[in-house]
Amino acid sequence: MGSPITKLTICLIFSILTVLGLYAVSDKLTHEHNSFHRSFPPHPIIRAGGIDLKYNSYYIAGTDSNRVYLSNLTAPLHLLSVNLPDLDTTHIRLSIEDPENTKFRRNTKVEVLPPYFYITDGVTPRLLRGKIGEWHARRFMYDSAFFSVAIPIGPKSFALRSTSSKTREHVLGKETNKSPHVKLVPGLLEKQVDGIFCTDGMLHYNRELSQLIYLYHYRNQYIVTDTSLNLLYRRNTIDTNSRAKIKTATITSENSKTMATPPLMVNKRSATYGDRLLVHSDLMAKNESKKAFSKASVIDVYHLKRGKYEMSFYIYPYNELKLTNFEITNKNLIALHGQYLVVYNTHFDMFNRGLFPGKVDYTNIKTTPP
Amino acid sequence: MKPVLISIKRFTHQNRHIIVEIICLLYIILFVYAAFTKLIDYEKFQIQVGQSPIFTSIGGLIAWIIPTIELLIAFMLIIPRLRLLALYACFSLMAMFTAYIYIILNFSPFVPCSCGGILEKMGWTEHLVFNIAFVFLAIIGVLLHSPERNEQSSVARKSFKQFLFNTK
Repeated sequence: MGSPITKLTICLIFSILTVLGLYAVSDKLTHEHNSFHRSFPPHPIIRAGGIDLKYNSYYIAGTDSNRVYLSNLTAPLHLLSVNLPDLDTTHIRLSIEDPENTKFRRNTKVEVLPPYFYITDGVTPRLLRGKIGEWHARRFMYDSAFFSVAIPIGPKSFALRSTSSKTREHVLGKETNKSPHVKLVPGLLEKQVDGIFCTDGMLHYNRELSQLIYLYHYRNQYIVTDTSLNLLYRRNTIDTNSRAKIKTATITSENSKTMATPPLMVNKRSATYGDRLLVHSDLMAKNESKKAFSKASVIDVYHLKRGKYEMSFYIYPYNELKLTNFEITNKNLIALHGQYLVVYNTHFDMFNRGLFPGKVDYTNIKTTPP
Repeated sequence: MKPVLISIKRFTHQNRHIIVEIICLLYIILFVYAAFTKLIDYEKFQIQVGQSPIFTSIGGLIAWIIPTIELLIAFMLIIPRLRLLALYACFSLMAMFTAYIYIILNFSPFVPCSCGGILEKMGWTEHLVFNIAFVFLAIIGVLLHSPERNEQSSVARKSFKQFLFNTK
């Protein structure tokens, strides 16, 4: 007992246990407040294939019925077209009008909405458009509005998320070529804490329904509007987090505003196609095993027309890389796992057919790509 | 090889007081420096601790406790009577920081940053190495500074010391 080595060992054990204890307490506080359940039908998605893109800086710029377009964060004028289901890739070089006076920034984004592709930059601001196939983009409409997100919703109109000059809070809006060009609709995004971090989320355009969807990152709500931004409805995701759990703070010495604690992320990623909204949730349900949840990425499927939660499924890591982003089309779920593009066949409708919704007709499921 | 080891042993034994002084001085500099960089921009430090995935809920408290303990230990190192206790405290605190970094690197969903001054420029792995080095300094300090009570424990200590220097 008396020797220094014994004392040091006791100190060491005590120190490690203290840190582990703190970690366990904080982990418990952040993860154990969920009282909702998920249903996991068998095999709603089946992996069809994957390719190595060599870089992890690709993001999904858009899809059409048999193609995925990937743009690159570090090289905005390089576009990769991937054929479905063969996964043949074609490299495309985009050109722009007046390249000397065009700056690309971190938030410069390439969006593909057939028959056009768009290059958007909310800081300059600048909107460019070109035809798919010609791959030459030029300015084509009024583009003086600043924005943090711009999604093309028609040949000459964009849905925007911008910062209100009056309140300095996030606001949704629409930019068109007709005067008065920009229409902001305050009130769609509801402030809970600071109006910036607490209203952060994802803006999607659902082509098939011609509706806009805004899903919050930090609370369980999504907002659906028509293309003129008239509110159609607000609905909730299955978890119970109706208030954004965010604390903000200002660092005076750096003149910056930041989050004071890690925010409680509810909805990480999302995608929409047809009647469905798919959400990659960051919250564990009561009926899930912690092991599966921490290993895989859970996707919840919502039926927009019926207004209900349908099912959930896991996307497992591909080459040990977790899901980083995804998009859906009529038949496929297209996922990025770091530098890998992975394509899954979706079988969501199978669970709604027949006398026994929830039972699967396995004869129709192909486990290998045709 | 053997004469070298013996001469190292003799050297450390003869100069143990100086070695302990150096180790204490290093620790005083480290802790005073670390505490002041934290307190000078306390607002920023408090936010950074709050952002840490391990201290989310108790960030405010930790932000006060850490610099206070660091200054307290530095003060105790100056007073000869409290020096041994202070060295144990140095060891424990450094072990906690090391365990914290280890957990952050291996289990945390994201890696935050909350070190001030020069230490801010260090990467997490370098930080880990830096901390482990200081943990060993504290061990050496404790072993060299402990009063020799009886033959048995000093034999054990010597063999551990030997082990320590053999590995180096």
